[in-house]
Amino acid sequence: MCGLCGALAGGRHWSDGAGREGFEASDKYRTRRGERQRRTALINRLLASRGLTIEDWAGSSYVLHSKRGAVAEVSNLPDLWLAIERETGEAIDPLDPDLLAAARRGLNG
Amino acid sequence: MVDAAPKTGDEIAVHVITGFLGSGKTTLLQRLLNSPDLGDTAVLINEFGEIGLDHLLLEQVDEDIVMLESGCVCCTIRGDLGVAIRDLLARRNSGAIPPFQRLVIETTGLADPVPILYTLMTEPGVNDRCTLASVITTVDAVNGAMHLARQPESAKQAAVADRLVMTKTDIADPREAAALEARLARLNPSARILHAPFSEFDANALLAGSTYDPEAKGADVRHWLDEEAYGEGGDRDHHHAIDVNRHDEHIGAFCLTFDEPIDWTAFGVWLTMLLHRRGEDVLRVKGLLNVDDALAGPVVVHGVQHVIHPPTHFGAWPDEDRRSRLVFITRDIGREEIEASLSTFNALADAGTGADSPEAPWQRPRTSSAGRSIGGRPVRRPGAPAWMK
Repeated sequence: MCGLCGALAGGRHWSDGAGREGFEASDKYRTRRGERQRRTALINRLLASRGLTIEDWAGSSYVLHSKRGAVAEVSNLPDLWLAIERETGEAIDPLDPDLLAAARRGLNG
Repeated sequence: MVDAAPKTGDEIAVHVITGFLGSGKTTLLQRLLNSPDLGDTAVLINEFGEIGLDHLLLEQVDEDIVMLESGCVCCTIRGDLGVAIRDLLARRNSGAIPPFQRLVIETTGLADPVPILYTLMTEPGVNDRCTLASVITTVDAVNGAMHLARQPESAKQAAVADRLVMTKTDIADPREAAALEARLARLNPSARILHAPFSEFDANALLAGSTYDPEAKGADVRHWLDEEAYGEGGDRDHHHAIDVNRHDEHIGAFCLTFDEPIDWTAFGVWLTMLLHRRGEDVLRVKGLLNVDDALAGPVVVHGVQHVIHPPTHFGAWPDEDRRSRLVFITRDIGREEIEASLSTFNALADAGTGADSPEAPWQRPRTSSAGRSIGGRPVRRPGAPAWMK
């Protein structure tokens, strides 16, 4: 727990590479902060077509924003997908061709 | 799912034995318990219904057996199992029972093994002491084909297995047994298939090591990554592989290879999203991933439906091949869908971080605040009004 703000450090999720044995050899996964920045940027590219964004909050959670404002604070990726499902009314599908096409357009544009 | 607590080094390898009703689980267990090599193995069996049939048949077992009260396939079984394992561990620590190194859990014939795996990986007091070593599924060579065709539980038990044990091969029609074996190999090419004419069966070999440890059991890992087993012929004709491997028009197995490293961050985002949306249809995922050329060896991942085992980094590759390889056993999800989706996510990870990421308009910082400029003129923080000075 952070003694200043009281934020609880989230438990490590299997998708976290930083801090895991062997991963420190790569710059990508050397620090938890750097890994979370990359993850946040990646998800924001993906969610751009859905009008959603996330931000990292204190390295311990993610805040989901929609056009209505901040809608949820979540501690890990599964909780994020659940929050998006609650906000939009359907689970985001990584196999959805429209989602993938929009993401590729974002890359090329 | 949050990771298990740090392992202590004194881990207990857990093998889960499943299989349809009458497929020979109990005979296999009896065989295991009679083997002198397995004196360091504790066994948990799961009573089904009101009659402890398995218990009655297992006459030779000693105090290492704990009966689970609940036999149904639901959440309560996890609690029972967690309590039973913790109790076993406590008795082991206190010296009340011998310091067993392996634990075998037998499921009921109608059980979905996934809740048991979930318990092993998430239950406090269990996940820090136990490591899932393998899922062993017995398939009856006489009735197995019928079970696979008619019982969805049976097909699922075979699909999630690491090792398939064909039983009753000594009394089955050899041609039917061969057809069943071919069918199992299509359904789950990643599993090793063993025969159990019990007079010759090597029980110790069945429980040796972990399926996921390329250093201890390299043969196992190489087997489940054997591309030929998936009918693909490597990358040459992979776009047609799914039709060949579809089982009962629903379950399919395929192996993807990626020449470029798979970004771990992208993989985590992708797989968690896939499991959230389609977890029921992703029966198994196993893989050796090259997450960055800077790492000395591959990262091993494996999961069953929503349950993902904490990934492990190995110090060296099992062979010269440095490509990432991922095995999927899915229900009604095609190879091309998975491949296109993961490739797109991987490309997103390489597109840079932070400043260049697209920002929604409502997220952009306001340009009129103090310290910025409008039309080239600086905006200053308003000073105190004159009448206050």
